[in-house]
Amino acid sequence: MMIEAKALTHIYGSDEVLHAVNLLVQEGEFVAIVGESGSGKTTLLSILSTLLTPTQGSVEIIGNKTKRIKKIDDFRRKNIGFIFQFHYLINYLTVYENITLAIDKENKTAVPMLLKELGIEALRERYPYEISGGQRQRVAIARALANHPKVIFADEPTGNLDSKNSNNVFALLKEMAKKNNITVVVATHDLQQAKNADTIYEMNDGHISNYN
Amino acid sequence: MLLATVLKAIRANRVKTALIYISLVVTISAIFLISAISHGVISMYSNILQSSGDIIVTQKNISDTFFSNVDTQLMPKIEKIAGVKRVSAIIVGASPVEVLPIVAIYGVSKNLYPRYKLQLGEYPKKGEVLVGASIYKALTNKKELHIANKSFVLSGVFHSEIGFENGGVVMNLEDAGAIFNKSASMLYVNINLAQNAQTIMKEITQLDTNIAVKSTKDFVNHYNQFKIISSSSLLVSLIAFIMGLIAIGSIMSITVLQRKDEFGIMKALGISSVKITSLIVLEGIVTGVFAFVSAYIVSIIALELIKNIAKFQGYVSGTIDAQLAVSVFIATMVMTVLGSLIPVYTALKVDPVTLIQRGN
Repeated sequence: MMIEAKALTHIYGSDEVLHAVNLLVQEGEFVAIVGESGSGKTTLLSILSTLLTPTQGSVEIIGNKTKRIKKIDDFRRKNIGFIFQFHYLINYLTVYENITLAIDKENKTAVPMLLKELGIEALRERYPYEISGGQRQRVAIARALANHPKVIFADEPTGNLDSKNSNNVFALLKEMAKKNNITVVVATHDLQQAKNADTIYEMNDGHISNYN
Repeated sequence: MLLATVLKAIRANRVKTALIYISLVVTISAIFLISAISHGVISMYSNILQSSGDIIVTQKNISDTFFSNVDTQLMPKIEKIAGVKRVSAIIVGASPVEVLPIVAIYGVSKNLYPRYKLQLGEYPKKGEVLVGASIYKALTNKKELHIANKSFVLSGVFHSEIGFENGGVVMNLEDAGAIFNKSASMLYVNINLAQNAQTIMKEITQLDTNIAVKSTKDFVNHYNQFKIISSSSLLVSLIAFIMGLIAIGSIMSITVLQRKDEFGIMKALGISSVKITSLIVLEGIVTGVFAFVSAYIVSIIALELIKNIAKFQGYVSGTIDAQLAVSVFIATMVMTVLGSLIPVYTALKVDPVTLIQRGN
């Protein structure tokens, strides 16, 4: 078991956005969480990935209770990769600098190969504002993979792309995950893309259920 | 890598960096100028005192040498004390001259004349004055001066490295005494090196109950006016420092606020808060170093210009010595580190997700 969430509840102000959510994700599994905007997908993903502390409930990830992890930054850097909808690359850094921004020394030598696998080796010295949306998302995938994580969390990774680029990015993510035995949790509103996952969950108004 | 990232971040945020840089240059230059000029005033007057004698005799319980009145009849009595080499007298006063609102007037005993190096003419006799080179340039009538409704003929021009003297008027003790209605402001006593100054000072004190006798070093170290100037300068510098700190803190807060998503992403990627803080503080330090160098150059130029403004008669001048430069550099670093640290520390206390969301 890679991730286990128990009775997760989260409240923003007076709004309860997650209601006692339980979830199990196995090692190497590709999980998609679908749901409409505002259904609680991003909040769930943020809590599972240690970016947000839940109001109630607990998360265990890679055998660690998130509340008990002492060096949370180190834990995230060594074990978790992130891909966000708006890629969130730092504009004043080159593609290579963005990918290696938080990289551990021992993983640096593998970066050229990663760039080649993702087809972005020619963009190495370009800045994010000099490349296309699809290329940016490839760079974001490379950044997520750079530290050889055990889990990748992707929040609407294709939300800003056209259908052709969406398919490419999704296929690439799946391929890289399978190749490196990485567990992936993707939040998306695109059901067609979600159908490529091993397991699909549906979020509805803060409640989670298996998608049928 | 860290420094390269910092330089790129500075370039990417060049408008805000420029604002911080300008605030710093203004603040540091203000601190430099205030400190250098006040230090200049103190050193000019203390140089006059220190180069004139080993012991200074003033009137007892006076707050300023301008108000002191010492009887010159003490001079022959002091000269008789064993170990005393020379006794001289000076009256220090100020008066308007032509269009200049205030000019230092020195009435001196004849044995003090040689300290004023002649450039033109000769030392003054009764009814005559010797003027400093910088005031000489400002005079329209270069033959005659009117001081306190009395006319004096210009006997010559002297040069002094001390701005207060170079911009002043020297006359004989009797003429100055008539203008300022006193015998002498101070007596300078030079002694033989082998003699014990304490013993001589004790003997001088016994000559008159209305006098205060101090070694020149002691007098300079405890002179109230110097303490007032130093304290005022320190206070104004401190205010400039606080204003600078507030300016940097405010601009840095805006910068941090606008870059919250960037810091959120960094935190999400596992970069520690300490490293993110170091990046921002280093940005501040790099800007601070550039601002310090610029402010140093600006201040040197400004001091040079001030020194040469005829209207100031050479009274306003200052130099930036190593001690002042190091102190101001430390103040600059404290200012930039604090100004950067507080906003970024506050920002990084929240979850990465909140930072990312607030940054948009």
